[in-house]
Amino acid sequence: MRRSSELRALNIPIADELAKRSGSRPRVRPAECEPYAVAGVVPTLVFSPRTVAEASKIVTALAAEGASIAIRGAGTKSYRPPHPHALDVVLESSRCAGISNYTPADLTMTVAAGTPLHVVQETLRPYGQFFPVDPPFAAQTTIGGTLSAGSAGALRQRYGAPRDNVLGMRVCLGDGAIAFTGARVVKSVAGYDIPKLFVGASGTLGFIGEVTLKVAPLPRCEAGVAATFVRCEEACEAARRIAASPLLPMATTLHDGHTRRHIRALGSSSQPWTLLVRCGGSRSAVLRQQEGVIASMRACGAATIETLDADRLHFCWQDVVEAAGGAAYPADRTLVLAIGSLPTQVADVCASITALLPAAEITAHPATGIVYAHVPWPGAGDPSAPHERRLAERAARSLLEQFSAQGHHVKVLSAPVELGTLVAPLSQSAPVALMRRVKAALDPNGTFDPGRFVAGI
Amino acid sequence: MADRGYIGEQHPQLSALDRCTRCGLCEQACPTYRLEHYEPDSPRGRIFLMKEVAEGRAAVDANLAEHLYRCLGCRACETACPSSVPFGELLEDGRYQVELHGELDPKRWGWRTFRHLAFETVLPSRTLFTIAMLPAQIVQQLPPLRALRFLFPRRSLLRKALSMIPPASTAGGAVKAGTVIEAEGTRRARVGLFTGCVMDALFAGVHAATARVLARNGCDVVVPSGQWCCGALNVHAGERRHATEMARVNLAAFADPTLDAIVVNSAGCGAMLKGYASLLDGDAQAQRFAERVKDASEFLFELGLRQGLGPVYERATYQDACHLAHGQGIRQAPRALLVQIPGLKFVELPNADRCCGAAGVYNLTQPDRSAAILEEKVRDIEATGAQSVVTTNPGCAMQLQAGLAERRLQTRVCHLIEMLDRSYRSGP
Amino acid sequence: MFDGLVQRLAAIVGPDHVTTAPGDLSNYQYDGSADSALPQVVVMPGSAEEVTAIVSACTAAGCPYVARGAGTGLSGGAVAEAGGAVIAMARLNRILEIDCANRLAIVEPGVVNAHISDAVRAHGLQFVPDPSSQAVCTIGGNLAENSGGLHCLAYGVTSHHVLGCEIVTPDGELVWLGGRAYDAPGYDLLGVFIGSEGTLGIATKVVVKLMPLQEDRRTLLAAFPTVEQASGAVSAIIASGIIPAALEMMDQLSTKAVEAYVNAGFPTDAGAVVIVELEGLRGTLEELVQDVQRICIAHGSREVRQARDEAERERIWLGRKSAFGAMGRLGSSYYVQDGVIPRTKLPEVVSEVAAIAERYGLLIANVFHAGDGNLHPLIVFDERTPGDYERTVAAGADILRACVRHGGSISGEHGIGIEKRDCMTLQFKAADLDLMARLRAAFNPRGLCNPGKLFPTSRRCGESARTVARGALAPEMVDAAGPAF
Repeated sequence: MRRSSELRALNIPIADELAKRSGSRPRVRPAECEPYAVAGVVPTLVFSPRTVAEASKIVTALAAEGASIAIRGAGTKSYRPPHPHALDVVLESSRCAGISNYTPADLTMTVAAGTPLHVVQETLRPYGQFFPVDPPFAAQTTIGGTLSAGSAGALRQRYGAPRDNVLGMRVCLGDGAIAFTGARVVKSVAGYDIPKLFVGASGTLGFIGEVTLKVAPLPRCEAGVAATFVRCEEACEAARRIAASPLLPMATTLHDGHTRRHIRALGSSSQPWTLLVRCGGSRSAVLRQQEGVIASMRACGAATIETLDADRLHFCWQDVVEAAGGAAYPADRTLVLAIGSLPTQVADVCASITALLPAAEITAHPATGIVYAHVPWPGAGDPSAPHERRLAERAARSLLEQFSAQGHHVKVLSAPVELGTLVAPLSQSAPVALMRRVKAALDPNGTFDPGRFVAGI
Repeated sequence: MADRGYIGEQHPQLSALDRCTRCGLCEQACPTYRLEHYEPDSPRGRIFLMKEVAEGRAAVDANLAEHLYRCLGCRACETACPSSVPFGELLEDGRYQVELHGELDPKRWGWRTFRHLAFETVLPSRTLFTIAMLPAQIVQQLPPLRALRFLFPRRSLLRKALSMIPPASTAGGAVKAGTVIEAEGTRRARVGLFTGCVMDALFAGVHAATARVLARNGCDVVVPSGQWCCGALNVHAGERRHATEMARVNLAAFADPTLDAIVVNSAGCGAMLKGYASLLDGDAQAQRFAERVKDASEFLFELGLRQGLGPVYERATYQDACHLAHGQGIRQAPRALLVQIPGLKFVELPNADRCCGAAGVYNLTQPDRSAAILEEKVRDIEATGAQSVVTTNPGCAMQLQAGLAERRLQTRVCHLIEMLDRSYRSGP
Repeated sequence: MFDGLVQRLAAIVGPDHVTTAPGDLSNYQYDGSADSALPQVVVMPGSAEEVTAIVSACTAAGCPYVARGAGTGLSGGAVAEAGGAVIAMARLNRILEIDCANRLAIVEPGVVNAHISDAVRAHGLQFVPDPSSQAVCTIGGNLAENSGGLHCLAYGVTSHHVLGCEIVTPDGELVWLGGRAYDAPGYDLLGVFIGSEGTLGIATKVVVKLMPLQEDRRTLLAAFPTVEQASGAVSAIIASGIIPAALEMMDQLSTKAVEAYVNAGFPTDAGAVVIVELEGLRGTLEELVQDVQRICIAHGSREVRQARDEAERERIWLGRKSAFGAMGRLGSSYYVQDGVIPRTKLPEVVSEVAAIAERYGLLIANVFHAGDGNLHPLIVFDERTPGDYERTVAAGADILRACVRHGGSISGEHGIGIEKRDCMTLQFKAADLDLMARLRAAFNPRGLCNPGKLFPTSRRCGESARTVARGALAPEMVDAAGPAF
């Protein structure tokens, strides 16, 4: 890899040369580049390709220079550890945007990866459709960013994760090769299902230029049920029963008292746990779902139960999606963990988090077994109690080890700079060698964000 | 090495083999595939082997013989087949070719001796067959002799044989060849009763019950003399010469044109009798005969049972005889008859249409496979908690009885007709 | 050829579970497709550790190998194209764990698809993917082919219902992809492994998701004067926000063949019929039924019938499932094509298929999974007529070209395997195929794991003379268990 300083010294001529070769002029001045910083590290150059072809030219030219490239969407998840030490080039996708094909009755939409998610949703809504994922940062995040991060919201319960709703992609690999993979129709088994590989790869395998999404009809009716519980176990049991029933609601989220406070429409509660269920379907189906959900909540000992009409539910949901994954917290002062466990283990996971990191604020998707912990962290410049910070860091590390040992899937979604090296240990049977070879096959020069994926990939 | 291809005209025909698209939907229906998970022991595998020979790419050899004889011939694959491959016929023709090719494998001498003795000597001869059945009949009349089976090791042939001998019917009675049992009440039909060989020797009570139930339902029951074994065991073993002769004997015995139906209470015999037209190569007389053959359950269901069924307070289940369910496509009739019996609690047997492992002489030729298949069947029966397991074929009845006895279960085996007979006799 | 390999394999699995007898090998040369190739050895492992040892032994000997489930695949995925070893997985058929509370089960790859649902039905759960061969096909095969089924329209295909699997990599390493829980760290290798047609390794344990059984369902049969109108109704149903559990269409040629064969109650004077199955909570389906009826009538349907009972429902599905067997009556053999198009392009593609039929002088009937635009044109031909077969394959390739031209795919569910490897170039450019090749090399560097599949050879699509999926004449009625494809 080229050293950043070296690149910086050369940046003007390189920029000119690259601009000639790629038809795209980079940002070169530190002040211009600063908004594209990754975990506080400012890149030397920032390119904004409009198409995957332009991206390919940039990548080819940069790869020849030995530069490393970080791919960026809206930059909402840039504090994902491990943080970079230095940053040569950021390839940002904001100009690679726009919807190229949408035929509502085909339930498919082809969009450029830099298109903001909310633009996609707004385009779909008049046709009674939506892209059925609800990741955090809904107002800023791009399609490419959502997919690269693999951010699944609570809608996974009915609609699957982002990986399940991507049909095809045009990508630029680490050596500049452009390839189309997957298909533009809702069903295909022609060739490897490579789009799934790019979902959740954090931009380490290639630049996603264009994506074909599988969209879904909006439910004809929606309504919600919110209940409070004294004990986390009871709320989780209610969620589990609902998920195991034929009711098939759209989503279920669980909030502790802290994360509940982010949900403006719910107001405050004296009970420590809130379970929120989003029902959707035909009018009669929603009524049946509500009834069934309420019955399960009551049977599991809910303290209070209230129903939400569609408007209030949607207002709620705007905040609900932001209450998981760090969107509601300052990225440089929050540690955000995501723990993939089983529905029956959610309560234990919550208890373990609270035991070791009492400050943690928890949102969970109990039907799919995912728990998000948001731990406020004093800023680097904060003079207060370095000892406590060290203790908390030790607690965080031992929590990660404990969860990994228990077989949970642990990810550090975001960490403040001083925890920039904090990563979750991998299990013994994780296919690390295979992942390395896949990385080497698609990004042979290690151009894309080297060292920033799992196992130092 | 033998020449490739088949000899003569009687062989698995390409037109039938071609129907197989190798889709594999038959595999899980096949008891031997479920047991071994081995492609050559699946219907598709066997069809492929027969086709290789038919297309001249392979010879009739020991490998083909082994896999064709490991087949039970239960024809469950025919039920599963979307392309209507006539597997039963292919199997019989394939085995016929194996036998035509003679001494393929010195290891098969035991089978050839048995086959010669059983199918070419004893079965075609009424006298020899009667003598051969004597020991079994003695045991049948003297139940304590059954206990002798404990002298023999588990899974030994004699132990199995002793436990297979059915108990004498408690209802008693027998039908005599050459007699007619008059219909009760208004006459609704005139039928011939097929008595066969094993049924006649060891299940005389079932014949008597059949005649009673038929008469009760307004049928004149004619028991023609001169009839004999249907030849099914021969055909299944690839023996056609004697089988054809036996078929001719039966055609003559049932030549009476006034018979509305030829009623048979053994599923295996019924499937064979219905197949006489094909055995005799489309012979017109055989065609007319085959059209009149009805399984007793099929006949009674179509006729409609008369009132007068009395209560039988029992929990009963039903095992489909392969040659009734898969061979003749009769599944509903026996169940529909059983549920009409007052007081009878009918419980469906899981996997009822899976073979019990009797399959003619399979329990003698492939004892280990037969036993493994039977064990699974007995476990399923046990799970139903039934006091009686009802079936419609002598081979199945004996096999089930042996299996239940080996597991020391109290569940009794009875023929469907015996159950109906019991009900009528307990009625008003 | 592979010195000492057979002895090593026998040492691994025991002599009873390895065979080189020519008679037995001949039974392992085929699967459910038209392709075949003789292996040199068949080995039947009884544990994941044995699979690992087998793969290592084959690799050391330079012997190609292919894993085989039930052998029901339709594109040659389990055929030992390059010879070598067939690893028959059927003995690995245990359901290891059922976790109803977390709605998952852990099974070995040789477990039959339908046996999972059978095992959990009493708990109100099911394993959703229901390929038409579900009574016999195995989970390992489902993983390899990413199998769908009639109900994949609403609930997704195999990859949506598998949480993780343990695999033996072509390096002989035993690793887990995914797991019991969601969101395993690292690349989604599970996603790419599913549907890789056995070229990236061999699954030895599979964690499947279980879904609650639905309470109620309704089945509707709508008849339309033309395929165009029927397609319009299909698109309108989807556009109205209703995703039925199944949404099937048959053209007139198919319905006539079916009615001549079984009494399914299809109106034979209709240009097309559409079958809609709705599932959901008890008491909530009436609203959807009425909407579907209204949409169908608005699109020109003269008759929309709702199955009154289970018997009538079964009769409708029997008719749909008998389509292939019934087509056999029109010729001696048939070839089933499998292409996908955007569902709004159905009318155009159907008329192109008709033009292709005319150009080649062949009879082509159409059966569609209309809900997801998956076409199954059935080309009727006579195997014994010289040239018929070649024309059929060429016509099939032209249909695929039409699908791709309309933005579709050359396979919706049958896979590429040997059958369509030379058609991959219709849909993918050299760079696209290169990406796939790189991925294969990352998993399968020596290329010994199921070689000869998925990637094009030097032939043109439609030229591979050996390749024709052949069905055959079936003169009597078929059972309801028949293939739906």
